[in-house]
Amino acid sequence: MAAGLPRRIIKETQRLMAEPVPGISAVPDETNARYFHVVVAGPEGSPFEGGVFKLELFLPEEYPMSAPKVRFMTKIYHPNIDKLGRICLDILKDKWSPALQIRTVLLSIQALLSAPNPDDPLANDVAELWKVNESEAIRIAREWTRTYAMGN
Amino acid sequence: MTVVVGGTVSPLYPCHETTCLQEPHSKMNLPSEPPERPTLGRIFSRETYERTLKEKGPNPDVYVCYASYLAEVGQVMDSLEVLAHTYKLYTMTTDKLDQVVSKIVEYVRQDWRENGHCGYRNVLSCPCCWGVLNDPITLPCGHTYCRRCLLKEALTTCRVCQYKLANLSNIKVNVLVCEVVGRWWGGEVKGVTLRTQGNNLVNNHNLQAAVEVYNHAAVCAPQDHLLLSNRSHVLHTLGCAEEALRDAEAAVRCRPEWAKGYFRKAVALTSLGRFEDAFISFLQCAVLEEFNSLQSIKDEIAKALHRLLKRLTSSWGFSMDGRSSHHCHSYFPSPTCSVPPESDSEDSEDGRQQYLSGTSALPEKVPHLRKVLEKFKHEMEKNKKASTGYVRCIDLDKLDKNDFECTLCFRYLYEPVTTPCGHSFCRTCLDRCLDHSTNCPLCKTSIRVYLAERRSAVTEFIEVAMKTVMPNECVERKRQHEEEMDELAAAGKDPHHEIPIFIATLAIPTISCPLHVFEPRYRLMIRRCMESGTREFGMCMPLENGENGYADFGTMLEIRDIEYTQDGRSIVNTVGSRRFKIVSKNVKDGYNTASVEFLQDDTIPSDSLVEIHRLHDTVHQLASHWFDSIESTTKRRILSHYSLMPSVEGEYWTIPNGPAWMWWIVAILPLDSRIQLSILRETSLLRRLEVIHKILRCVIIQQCDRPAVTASQ
Repeated sequence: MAAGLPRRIIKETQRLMAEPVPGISAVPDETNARYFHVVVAGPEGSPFEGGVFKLELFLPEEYPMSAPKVRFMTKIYHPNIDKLGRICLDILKDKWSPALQIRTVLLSIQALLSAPNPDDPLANDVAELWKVNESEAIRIAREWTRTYAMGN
Repeated sequence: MTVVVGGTVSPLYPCHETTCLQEPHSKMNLPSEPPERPTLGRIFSRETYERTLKEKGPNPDVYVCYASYLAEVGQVMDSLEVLAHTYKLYTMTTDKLDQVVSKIVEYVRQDWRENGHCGYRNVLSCPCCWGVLNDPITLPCGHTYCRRCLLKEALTTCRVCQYKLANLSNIKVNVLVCEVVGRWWGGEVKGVTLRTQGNNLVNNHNLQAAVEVYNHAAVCAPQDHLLLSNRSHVLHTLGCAEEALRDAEAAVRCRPEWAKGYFRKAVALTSLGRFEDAFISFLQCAVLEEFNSLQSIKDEIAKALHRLLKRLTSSWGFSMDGRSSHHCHSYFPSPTCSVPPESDSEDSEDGRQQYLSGTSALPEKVPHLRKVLEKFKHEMEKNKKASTGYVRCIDLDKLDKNDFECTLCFRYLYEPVTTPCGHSFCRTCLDRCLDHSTNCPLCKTSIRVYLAERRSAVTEFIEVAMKTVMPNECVERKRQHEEEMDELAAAGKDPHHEIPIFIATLAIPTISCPLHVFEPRYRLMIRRCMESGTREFGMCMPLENGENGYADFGTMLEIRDIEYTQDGRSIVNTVGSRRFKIVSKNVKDGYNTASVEFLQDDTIPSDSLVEIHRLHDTVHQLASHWFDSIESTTKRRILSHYSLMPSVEGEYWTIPNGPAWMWWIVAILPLDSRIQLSILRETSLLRRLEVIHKILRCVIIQQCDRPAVTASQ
């Protein structure tokens, strides 16, 4: 990279460390300060409760002019997250604003776990079930959480 | 008018914020000069006036003209003495003083301004009311006003910078300024709310209740000059002149440069019968007034002067006809108390002349008036000292430096700008966001207008507030910015300082290259070239098999001018200059950069010069010949783009890029850009001549063949 790490990224990292978001940890990679190892705890009351979900977050060269790239590493049964862990979240796409931050992105993802939105799906089959038979969808989501997100 | 003061002085300055509804713009549209009244014609020297008076005897019109003349040339004291003399001799009416008062006011104002006493302003206050900013609105020019003041005054230009205002309704409260003002001067802000309640009570004729609310407001904001002034006004209306004077004096102490305070003071003084002090205060008001029409103040000054002179001259009395002096202490002396009853009419001219025969036609010294004028000067000096020392106090305990952090770069704001939606960012940070989106980064409101107007006015309040409360941080932030600029400005100076690379086309030395810049990364790049002052960047042609997708050789483009479109795109007119070879490629904030070596032609050994000259002349001749032979429409098109072939420079073989005409011919020849690139990178003039020679011969042969082919078809 031509220039050193922008001051904004340094400050955001410092603040994430000093005042972490409850239920979320984000730690920069030792070799790449633009790459973060993220862990999100499944929100209480959601089918993901009790699960620990690993994500990766990358700040592209143009950050904050372009959105961070975020992906679930842990398998999750959610209408807005696909098999590859890609997330359907407007602020990560066209609704991105440079005034948003890593912190706000992670909070939005946490909120997405609490409130799945099957009307704007990324994983079509999951969304379909969520709409047709929500209790069954929630049951599967719980099961997936136990299977994939609880084995430390 | 809701209230009339004592029946003597009409309130030029009604209660703050209350009366614009009743009196829309009446102050603004008045002519500043009274219409010229018929005079005896202009006489241009003191001697002529005095001779006229001596020869033709006293004449009130001549006296008034004489007094006006003296005021105009700055002899205000003498002017007043002439007037006093006139008052002694004649029954005068206020309107006779209009012209001379106008001249006095103009002179004292000019005198005050010529001595550098103007433009008092505390940037942390509203430029309209000079009070604490209430619902602060930042205008496109960067100056911040109370929302109410903007609405009330219906300004068409900014009072500070004369920026023309339009469409203010879309501007929202400046969020940061509002936050900071509330934190630093919360008491005063509360005072404004109470003051407004008080003003409403005044509008509803509930003066007693208004005073009580004003009293509460004074507890929150004891230094609020507007509150003090309003309370003074109401107290005066209620007949409490002493209290009104006390409040007016307090307002003057809080804002010694505020004209209205003196007006209130003068009104109270008048009611208390202190005509000299009232005259002085009115005059101070006239000197300091910057925005309202002076006409109404001049009228008040004329009345004040009239009272003053009438009382003064009546106390002198008359000795020549044995009448004893007649002291007038009543508020309005009877119109004839200073002159014999029979002489108050202009008709009895004979009687008057008789009466005047014993009196000098020329005025005598009046020490009393001299004292009045000296007191005025002394007061203005005092004002000067008090005014320059005024600053709005900030309690540093209430400071939160994080307020001044830019939400985009997380650093302290540098050159803070404010969007119409009221959000503030570093100018460069917001510009960069606007490359990507026309919405505010914080609230997503469209700020196309901001972009289209290409504003860059810094929000003065924020900048000054920061410099006041955190000077060290500001210096450090400025240093950071300058360091970044220096870094950009050093582009290409050495291998460590990379040049920005634009990948679009093959640019050729000396040839102009207009570019349509629309990609966010290139908008940023061009802006940086301009802000850092380099005004140049590298242009490389895209190359599929090249590293990072572009060629390893290129040409610097110098920016000639830029035309912006409303949506932030631009047409950048450039011209090719130095050639370069890329050493290493990189990326910065989304655009390409590279470390480069600049190319220049190899030095030509003296023994090959003859050969170079010979080949050069041949190729040059061939090129001219070929160009002449081109079909006329094509030729016109070429000429309109590239203009005429440059003439051959003297000692062209010593120029780093060789002769310019060769680049011109490379640009117009129908060549594949890869061939152009191979010519560009060639640093041997001889070899470039050879290649161009070969190409020209091919092109000419093809051209000769073509008509034959066409004929055969």
